Amino acid sequence: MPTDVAEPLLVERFPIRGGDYEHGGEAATRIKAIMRQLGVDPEIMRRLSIANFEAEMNLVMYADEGCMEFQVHADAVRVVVADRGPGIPDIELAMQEGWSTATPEMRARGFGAGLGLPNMKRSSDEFEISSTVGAGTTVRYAVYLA
Amino acid sequence: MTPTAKGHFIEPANCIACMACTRACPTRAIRVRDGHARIRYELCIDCGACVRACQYGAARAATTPPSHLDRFEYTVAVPSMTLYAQFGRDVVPSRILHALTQVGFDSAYDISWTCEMLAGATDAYVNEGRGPWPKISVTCPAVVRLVQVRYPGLIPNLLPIETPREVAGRLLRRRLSAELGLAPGAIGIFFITPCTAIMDSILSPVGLQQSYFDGALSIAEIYGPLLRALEVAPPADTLVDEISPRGLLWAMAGGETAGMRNSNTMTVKGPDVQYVFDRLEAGTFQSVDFIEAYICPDGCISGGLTVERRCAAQRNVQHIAKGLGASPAVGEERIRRLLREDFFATEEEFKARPVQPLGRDLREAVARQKELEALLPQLPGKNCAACGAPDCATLAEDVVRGEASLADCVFLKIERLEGDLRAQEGRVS
Amino acid sequence: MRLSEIADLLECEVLLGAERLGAIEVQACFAADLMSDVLRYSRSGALLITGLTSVQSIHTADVAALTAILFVSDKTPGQATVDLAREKDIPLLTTSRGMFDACGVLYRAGLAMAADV
Repeated sequence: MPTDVAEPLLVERFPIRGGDYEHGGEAATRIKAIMRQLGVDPEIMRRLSIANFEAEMNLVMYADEGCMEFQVHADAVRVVVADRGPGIPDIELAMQEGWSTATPEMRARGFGAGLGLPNMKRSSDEFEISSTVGAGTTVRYAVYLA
Repeated sequence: MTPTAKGHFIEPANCIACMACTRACPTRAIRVRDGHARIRYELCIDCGACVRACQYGAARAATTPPSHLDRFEYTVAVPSMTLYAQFGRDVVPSRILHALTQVGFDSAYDISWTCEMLAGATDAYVNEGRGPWPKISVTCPAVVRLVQVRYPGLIPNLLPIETPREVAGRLLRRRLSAELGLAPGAIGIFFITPCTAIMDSILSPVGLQQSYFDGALSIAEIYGPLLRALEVAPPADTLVDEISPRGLLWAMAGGETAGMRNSNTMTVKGPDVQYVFDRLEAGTFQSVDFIEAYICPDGCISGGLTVERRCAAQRNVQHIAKGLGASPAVGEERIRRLLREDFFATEEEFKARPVQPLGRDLREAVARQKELEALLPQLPGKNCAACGAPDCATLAEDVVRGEASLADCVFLKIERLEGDLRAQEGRVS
Repeated sequence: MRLSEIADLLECEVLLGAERLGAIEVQACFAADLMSDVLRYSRSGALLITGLTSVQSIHTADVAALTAILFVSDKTPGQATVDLAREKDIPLLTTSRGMFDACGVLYRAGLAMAADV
């Protein structure tokens, strides 16, 4: 992923608290509302929203706190989700299809599609994840605009 | 849209600009400008919350006037299942159907079996049909409009199966025309509706070119005449109840799926609908096969044009259904065959009606979005609706779209006037 | 003080209304970037000094009956803003000076505050 991404046209930051199930999903919902206001293509909105909901719920379920940053660029919508938390010990394992730490209770409440990180990667055009055990995790992803 | 083209509208003469409808609208489609409320129909989902909220008869229903029946040689009343729940536990549907023939209709046609059949068709579709999942029921017209306007990404999720009332309307017109030897246009078929949403779906249908109904009378309007007609004992042979209990349950939220064998369903009502739809697009709830959804808080018995309180109506439905006993299920094989022959299929595709974005292109939209965000902290945040927009965020949006002014804010106005007053006093002293 | 004198004093570029500057008498000024503050506190007839170049500044000047707008720090309004100002007949000027500077110069020249505060 390029490190010299141009200045975004618009940046919105949404702080997220770990364990805050009551508000889980609200950041993703508000990002979707902004994209709708901006006239973003529905398919692009859907793909980014899939990744956003998953990322937000992962933060709520596993981290202490974090922030979802939404950026509008001329050529793409990008999101950076950075959290302070236990981190992911084995990213390769977490990226495997079907592997999910979501308990049946979590999934029954509608939290997360239950397909985790691979679903986020499939949904986006760019996807990058880094993590430090004991410190936290950062996920970056983007969907290209037409 | 002119008032006569909609099932609900605002009569300016009765509007005192109290803002109740403005605040009640779930899609923020109403603004009060120049002294009275106005519905922006491009944002409106026909749910009738405004009509329900208005205490002054300004936001009102425009159902078919009874005099309209005179234009037809033969008229049929097709009641919503909700009508059966309006007259207490002991008034069985067959008496209500007979009473309808005493208040101006030549006959009354029960669609409880059509409802049961459609539940079977939905079951079969969910087992055999294509995704995406979950499929969303199209029974509530306001839910369909909500998807068209705010969730166009969910259009592929709408169940492509016609509502029981339109299926019944289609069959009725053909059958009666043949039986009575009348031209199809000489037959007046009228729905007895619990809400303005169904009236709107008859005037401007979605999923079919033209409704098979010639109009709808509201339950509220026909209640009085029916009550009087019910006081007269009907002939004995009309007391046989051939109502489907499973169909009758469609009056309540959860009734549609209660008649389905597939239990991987979810019933969503009122504000929960937008909550669920927000998450549906992101892939949550994908394990659900079918969603029954209503904008009204408790399904059709809580419709804006009903008379009986919903708690009593629910009790009535349950009691009457129990009294009807078990009924033989409608032939599943037959339903499956009809489904494959597209007998139940919607005639037209559902089309999106998305709201205008903030700008003509991304840059303009982003510029306006930034302006909007700069305006928000300048507004008092009281969401009082006194400016004519339902809340501060909407006023800010209207301002950047060039449809309102920051000066519309009453709190800003008050502070300015107070300042003027102080300045005047300063000059005097 | 006439608007033409203010334009000279602050070395302004005149975007709109050059022909009227000599005829407009400015008694007082109001400086703010938040249009809600302008609506709340300004008094009619003042010169609006602001860094906000969006159409909101024109709408606000119109509603608050302010006589002209001076944009500071070389900020230049877009075409939509200029068009609206032309429609509302509100002269527009810009200066390279920052807001504090511009206000200081005008205050020393004798212009009063046009606010309730």
